[in-house]
Amino acid sequence: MSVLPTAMIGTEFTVATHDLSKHYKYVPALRKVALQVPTGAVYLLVGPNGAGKSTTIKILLDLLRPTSGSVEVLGMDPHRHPALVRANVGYVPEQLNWGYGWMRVGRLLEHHARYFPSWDWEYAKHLSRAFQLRPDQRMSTLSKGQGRRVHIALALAHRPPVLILDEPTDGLDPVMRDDMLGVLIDHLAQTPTTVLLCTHHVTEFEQIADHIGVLRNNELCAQMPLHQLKQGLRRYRAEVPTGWGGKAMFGAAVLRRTTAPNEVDWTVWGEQDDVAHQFASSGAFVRDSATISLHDATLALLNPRETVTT
Amino acid sequence: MTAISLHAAPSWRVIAVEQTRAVGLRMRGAGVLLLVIQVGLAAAMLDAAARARAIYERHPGRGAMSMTNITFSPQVAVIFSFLALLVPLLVWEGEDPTRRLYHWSMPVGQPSHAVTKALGGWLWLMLAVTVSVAGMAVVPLFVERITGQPQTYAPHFTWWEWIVPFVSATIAYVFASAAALGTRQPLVWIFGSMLIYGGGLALFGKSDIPVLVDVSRAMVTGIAGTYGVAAAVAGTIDQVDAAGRVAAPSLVRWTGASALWGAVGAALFYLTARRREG
Repeated sequence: MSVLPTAMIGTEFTVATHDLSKHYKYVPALRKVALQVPTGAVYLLVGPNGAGKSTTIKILLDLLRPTSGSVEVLGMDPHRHPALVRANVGYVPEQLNWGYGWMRVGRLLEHHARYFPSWDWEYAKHLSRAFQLRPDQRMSTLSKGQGRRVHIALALAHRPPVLILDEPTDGLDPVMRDDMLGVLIDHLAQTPTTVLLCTHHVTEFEQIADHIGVLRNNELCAQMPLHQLKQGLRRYRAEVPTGWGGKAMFGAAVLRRTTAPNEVDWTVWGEQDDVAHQFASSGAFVRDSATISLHDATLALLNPRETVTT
Repeated sequence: MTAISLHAAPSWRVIAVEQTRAVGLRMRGAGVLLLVIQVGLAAAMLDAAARARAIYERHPGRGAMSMTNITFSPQVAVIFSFLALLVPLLVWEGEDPTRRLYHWSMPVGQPSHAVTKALGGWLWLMLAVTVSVAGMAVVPLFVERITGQPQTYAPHFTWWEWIVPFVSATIAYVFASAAALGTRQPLVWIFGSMLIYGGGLALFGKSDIPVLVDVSRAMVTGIAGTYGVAAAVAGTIDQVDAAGRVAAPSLVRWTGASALWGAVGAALFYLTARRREG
């Protein structure tokens, strides 16, 4: 049982799953996941490979059926209204090998536009310029990064109320990553959008993200606003007496621990005063406590571990 | 929840038109190639007719001009069936079940989207068959004009046999579409099944084991029986009955065989169109 928050209350959710489970034969891909993406949020869904991020996305788009549980996107069940849900979602898949390699970029934009009545051609042209897309290039001749840019343009140009981006910066060079982020920031400023973003590179999206969910071992082990994570997850360095037995007092709230003979360096979840009080009551003296970067916080959530030094 | 103005899903008509255009674009090269072959063949026939006439006119006393009749026979439908087996490979090229994410993620229900795309390919196939059949109907008229010799059609030829190539190509197209939708190697499945069937037929036919002989007979019935594949694909013309007589074509038999195999193909197509990435 996670001590970290996994549910948000008092908020409207544009994307939500309830006890969502998916098994591939006997292998679990998701276990009772209750994802909650608030309306207008930029939600980072992080997790190691195989944690179930892409599976969750595919279920949200009715590309996969869940084994149990239910899903809501914009208040609709994707299984009952697949076309309407997908008409309102801009989707950038992780995998780009989806055929249509024979089509030229310009024709693909035209093709895509016909599927989305809300397609904004002026905006599509703007995106094509921003991403340096060449309409005469065949899709099969594009590099991974170029293909990714085409996908992002396809996802944004119909100005959907929901964006689902699965590793959107994968394959992009640093300059193009920066450009893409700029385009995304402009897009969010112009178009009210709820974004669900799966990525391994959380720091790239730190400036636009406001919520985070962490999938570990196919379960949602944490879900909260980003500011809550930054406040609640801190690194504490404390002096401890020899033979200190305070470890048990903290339980699962300690995500990472480095323990030396008379010193501990722990990443702990909880109210700063409460944690400091717990240390003090166990006979330890907190020398300093500090917030940690989103990158370190994510690492701590994804990979809790204990290191003992002598 | 806060009211968000939802975007509408596209209309089926718009998607049908777009898929027909997109598939047409994909098949353009093959279509041009087919047209070139047809025009070439027609030109060769007309040239042969003109040469025959020229030779006849130079040597008028050497007997009647002899030219093979250029005829239309429903059995040419077999050629269209084979061509139709290849069309879905173009329609679904690069989109095997593991690479069809783009197609599935569009704002259209998955089965109806598959049907729409397949329908686009079918329309182009029918256009190709129409052009080919029209060529077969028109070229003999020109040959007749050049040579002055009447060109005849196949014996027992009836009006409905003009439809046979269209139905035959459609049945083959539906089967091949199911293979293209449901498997990663449709070509292997299509021609592999044919080879296995043919091999099994040859092997079991030579066997002395009664069960295998029965299986062999059943397999023959599947091909050449009353409602076998052959009756659906090539019409029923020139079928030899038990007494060794050429049987007259039967509309009822052809319709029955076409309905049977069409239904089997459609069921397979439906099952594969429903299949989703797992």
